Amino acid sequence: MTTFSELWRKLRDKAYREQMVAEQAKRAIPYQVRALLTSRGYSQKELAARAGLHQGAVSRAADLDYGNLTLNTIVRLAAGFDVAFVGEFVPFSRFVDYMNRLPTLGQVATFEDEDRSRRGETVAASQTMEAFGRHGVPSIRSTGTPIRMAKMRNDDSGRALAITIDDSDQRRSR
Amino acid sequence: MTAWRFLDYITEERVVPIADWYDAQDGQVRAAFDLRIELLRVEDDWGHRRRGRVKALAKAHRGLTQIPFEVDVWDRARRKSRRRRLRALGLWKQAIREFVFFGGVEEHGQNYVPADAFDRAMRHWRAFEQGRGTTRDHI
Repeated sequence: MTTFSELWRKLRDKAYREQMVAEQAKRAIPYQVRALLTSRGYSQKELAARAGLHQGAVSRAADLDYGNLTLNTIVRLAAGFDVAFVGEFVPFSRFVDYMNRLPTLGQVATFEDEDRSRRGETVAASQTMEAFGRHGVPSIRSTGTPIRMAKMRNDDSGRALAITIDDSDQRRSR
Repeated sequence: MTAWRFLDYITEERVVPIADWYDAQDGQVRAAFDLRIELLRVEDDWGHRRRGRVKALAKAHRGLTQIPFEVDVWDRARRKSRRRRLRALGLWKQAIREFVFFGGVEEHGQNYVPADAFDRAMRHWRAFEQGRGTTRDHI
């Protein structure tokens, strides 16, 4: 793998960096299409069906030497893989970072996978809220089994005054 | 997946053929070559049945392998791009995921620049097989 400093030194040549950007734009997307096809286990035919494209278009999109992908095809491919596509102008430092991420370009989660993951976190967060109570902290529980009970004494305005740990359950069991 | 490893052959005279070729190219070719190598380094399967990344040479240059790549060069005056066809020449060791560079060449219709690039690469390959010279990691 080319180091940051080595690539940066080469980028000082204007012709080099212009062409590097062109090559990245033209070759890295087909490379990623191939990598995603492999990691998802899709055939070109299957991706074409998901993306609403002809198989020939997918074949060209996965060809490093084609170099004439249109934005329309790219956004259809994004739909087929159920991922986002972000095209933006960036400084060269970010370009170098991107180059270092080439080995991971085939690992992009679908929206549904991400959504499942995010919903999982949300459920956990709401369970935590219930465990701690929505108004004050009446009790602390782990997954349903009380370990120790915490009681909060509030003043009349609801302001917390003290938390006491109630270990009566444990004393009873002794 | 194990990344492919690229090596530069160094002759007994301490000449690095691929580096000499690379340094003689303009920035556009160097960029295209570097990006192609970086993509190949992380690409699992080079042996696509129709669009293989490498191509074995035949006849007088049997044993050598080429990595073809193209460069679309933007012609500012004519405001259109022009395609240049180039090849890196070397030895493809598929089983251990290595490629040893012996040189490079540009295709101009029926001609090649340098004209003796294939013969030179062939000589380097024979020397390499005889244990003459050494290699270094390609940067």
